[in-house]
Amino acid sequence: MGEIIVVTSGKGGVGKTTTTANIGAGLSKLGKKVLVIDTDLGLRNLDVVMGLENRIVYNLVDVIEGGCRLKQAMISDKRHENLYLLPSAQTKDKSAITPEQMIKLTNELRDEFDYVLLDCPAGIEQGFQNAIAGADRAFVVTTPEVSSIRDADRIIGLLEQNHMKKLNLIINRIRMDMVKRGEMMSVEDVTEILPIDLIGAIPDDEQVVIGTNQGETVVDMDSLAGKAYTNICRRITGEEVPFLDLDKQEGLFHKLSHMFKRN
Amino acid sequence: MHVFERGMHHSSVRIAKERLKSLLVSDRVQCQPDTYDLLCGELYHTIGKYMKITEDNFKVEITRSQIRINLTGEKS
Repeated sequence: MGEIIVVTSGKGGVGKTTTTANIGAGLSKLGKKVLVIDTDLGLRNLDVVMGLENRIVYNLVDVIEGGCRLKQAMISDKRHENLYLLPSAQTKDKSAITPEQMIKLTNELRDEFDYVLLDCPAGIEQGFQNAIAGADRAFVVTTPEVSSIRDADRIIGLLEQNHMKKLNLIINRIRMDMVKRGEMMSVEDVTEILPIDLIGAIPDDEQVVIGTNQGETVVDMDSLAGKAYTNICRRITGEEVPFLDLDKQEGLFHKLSHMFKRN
Repeated sequence: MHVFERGMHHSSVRIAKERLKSLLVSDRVQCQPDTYDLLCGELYHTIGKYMKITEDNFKVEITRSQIRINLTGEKS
């Protein structure tokens, strides 16, 4: 039976889409059958981040309205066996589908996939309600900044009100240089404030931007963020993986990349 | 290697954490930030009537569904 996971945050721009794409790709690399769904109607992005924007024929709204079968809308990612994307509609808006329709869809998906990841839009209105409706579990993404933490806290409250049983925190864009100077909150600072279990912390990494430029996920690149995402995937499948010591790792990565550059 | 600066004294993180603590409490219980201080003060006063407690160890945590009062300074 598949697990339906929504990736949400409240605040926009903290890394939900990047996280969805990378966890999706990472889980497929571990041999799981994964469907990632972009539920941001009107502002689709998951396709672009994954480099699949030229393969879109049908979308989530078409499937829900019965205009096509799921298999026709699902895009298989040729670089990742068992990874599929159901893209959003660029021309509709959030009112085009309802939570009830999403619940019906996700129930049909449970038998087919090991994991279904829903990329949730920013905000707390209908888009959010649609995305969480059918989910068993939520990943709340935040950055170590006041505004995103505040929004994440609100989202956690709303998820609890909506009876979401499993909640996990992902802290994105940690900059160890700033943490050491006391100018950025650390992983510990954030987990003290937000009362849900941490499933992973992702360092700020240029490779993420480079990856998006090329339509590649960082789990496939030589990247510290990619390594952190891979560890999250391993934890999702039940493996116990110690958290990366970002401080030590960052130094090591820089030393190694300098070595390669000189050659 | 960079020299460890006196930066920690001017740490913006400390300010951020204090602001957040205040913000989240007032968001969670939907009241003004000072209300939290007033609430803590009254709780301390009331509990102090029945038990021996010290201000240093007395901590009140408000989450969305609970108020947790820590009396001993130990982490649970």
